[in-house]
Amino acid sequence: MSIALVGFNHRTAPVELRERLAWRDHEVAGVVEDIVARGGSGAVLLSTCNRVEFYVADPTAEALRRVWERAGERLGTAPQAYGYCKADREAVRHLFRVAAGLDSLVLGESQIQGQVRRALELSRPRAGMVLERLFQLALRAGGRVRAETTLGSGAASVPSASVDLARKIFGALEGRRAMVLGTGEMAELALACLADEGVRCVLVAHRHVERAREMAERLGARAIGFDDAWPLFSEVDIVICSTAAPHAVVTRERVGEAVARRHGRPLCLLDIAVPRDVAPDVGELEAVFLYDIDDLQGVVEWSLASREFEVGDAERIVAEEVGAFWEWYRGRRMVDAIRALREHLEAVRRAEVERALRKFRHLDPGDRERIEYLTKVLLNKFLHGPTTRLRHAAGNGREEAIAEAVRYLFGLGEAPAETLRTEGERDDS
Amino acid sequence: MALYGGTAAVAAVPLLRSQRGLRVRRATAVLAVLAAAAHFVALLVFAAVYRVLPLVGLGPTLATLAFMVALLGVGLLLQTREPAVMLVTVPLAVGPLGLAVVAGFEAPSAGASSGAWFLLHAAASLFGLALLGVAVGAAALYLGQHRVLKERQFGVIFQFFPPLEQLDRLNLRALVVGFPILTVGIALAVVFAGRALEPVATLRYHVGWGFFAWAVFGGLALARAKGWLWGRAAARVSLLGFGMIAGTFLVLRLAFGSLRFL
Repeated sequence: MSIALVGFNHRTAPVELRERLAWRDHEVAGVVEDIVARGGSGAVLLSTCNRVEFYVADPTAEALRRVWERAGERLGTAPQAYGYCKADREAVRHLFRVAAGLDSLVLGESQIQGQVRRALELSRPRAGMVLERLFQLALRAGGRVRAETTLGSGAASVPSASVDLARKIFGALEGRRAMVLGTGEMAELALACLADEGVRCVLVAHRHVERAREMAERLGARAIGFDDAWPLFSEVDIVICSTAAPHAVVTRERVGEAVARRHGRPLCLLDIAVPRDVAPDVGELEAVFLYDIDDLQGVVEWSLASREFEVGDAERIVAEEVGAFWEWYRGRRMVDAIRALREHLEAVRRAEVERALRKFRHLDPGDRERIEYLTKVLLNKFLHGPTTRLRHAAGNGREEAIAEAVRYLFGLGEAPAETLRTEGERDDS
Repeated sequence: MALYGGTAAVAAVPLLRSQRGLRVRRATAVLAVLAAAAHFVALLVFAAVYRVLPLVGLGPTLATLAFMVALLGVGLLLQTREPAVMLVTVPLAVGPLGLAVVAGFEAPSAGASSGAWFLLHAAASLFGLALLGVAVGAAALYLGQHRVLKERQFGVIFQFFPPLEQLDRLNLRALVVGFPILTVGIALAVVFAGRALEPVATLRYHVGWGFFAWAVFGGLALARAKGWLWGRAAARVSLLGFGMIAGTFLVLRLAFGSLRFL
């Protein structure tokens, strides 16, 4: 096994277990260090609200055992029932799908891209070359999916649905003005999404002005009472209603005149309160586009359903990037084997040349150099064919078996050059 | 025409399958550009064969008008990046082009209008009318988008049609820019008529229809520029105005087809 993944996500572990497993940023380096110390060339810990995943390169059995132990310590129970294990190409494919948003709770969500990047940054001192490259290519796969498909487009939440609706009415939202009625949390979330698109909140209205003041100060807006709000329906472009009123506060009688003064300029009215703040007949006014919480949810559902059509293209991109990583990885393993072989044979050559030159003390420096040169040329000649074939093997899927065979045949990484001398040669020295 | 049809078919794919797809956008843009290019080449061939710009005779004139509408549509497609734009542009281009094919592309007669004044008049008038076509296309899309937004139907039209205000702005700009261009065309016609070899009386249907189109177009442009019309009312009146202009042309052509008309 060259790359191992041990993970827990929203499909395998309920939230009460996932919240116990979640590691904070300052804990990641210590956990990664602990795992790599048990064996492996690198490790990365990805910890988000919906998943915790350990990626380990060239893991030993002890390193994997330690991963499960750490998870078990956090969970307070046997973790195997809630986790999953993947290896090699499957582990790579899994990570690439995660970065692309294909494995997310909300298909195509983009937050995971930043979380994968953050995981690599936090684990970096001990990530190792293989996982560094793996995560970089995973981020590239995620970027390609978002650039080449519309998997991440459209609203995925009620607050972001307000942006979709406003955009369909106004087009670009830069410079548009919004008013908030009430100080509900959902209204603030919707406003935050709109503010990201350039909408300015200019007014916060509440039955009691002093309650509006705190939110208004936070948003850089003006606090007003409800009675002052109705005439201003002619000035703003977007109104978000989220009061705690038990009945409709925005009625045709109150805002009809102001809406008429708009001379056809559209007004986007987002009523996210339950019970609703806006009387339904307000939506019948020509310039008014009225949406309640069910409508916003409808936008989200449609958007998420349409993302399903992009999955095929996204999976194709992931498969391409997995292939690119695996191509690199196979080549790298063969490069390691070739380097180890050269180093080993070079060590043998040096040792034998030194031993021979000790016997031939009568040779002048020029002759010694010629012998040195001759042995180097011979070594290169002998290695040329096998090296070329080893590189070729990296491209035809036999690299693992051949690299192992080379290591075994030449004892790479085991015995020093001394042990390869024959009995007669040992007697000579 | 096949390329135009293919463009509209590809543009309709998202509406049929609820699939966004960047490939659909790219494919629509490529086909639209190819169709306009093929159309342009065809007009060039006409000019090369008959040694006259395709602004003389009913068939060539309608074909040129169709090309201008298509060209403006391609520009809109590239600007808005919404394939749905081609769903109205293609019919507005294929309609006159189909009529041109029916009318035929025979060689201009010996007494046919020619000369720089005439060609400038024809080009300016056609371009002005092409912009009217764009205004009407925007109005049609506006009404579609307005309905789904008002009735809270978040389906394919909501997703794939351009934003409401963008369409309203497009209608306004096309009318306000197109009308002066058409006015220049009319003014050039007056200059041309003063130099023409045949009396204007034989072209009374042409002239009458031209002034009628100019008046309707002008009324629309004025109402929009002054802010008397906006939103859904502006879109409806734009469609009505276009219907009046196109309908009058067709009626005159059918009723008095034996007389010289363009």
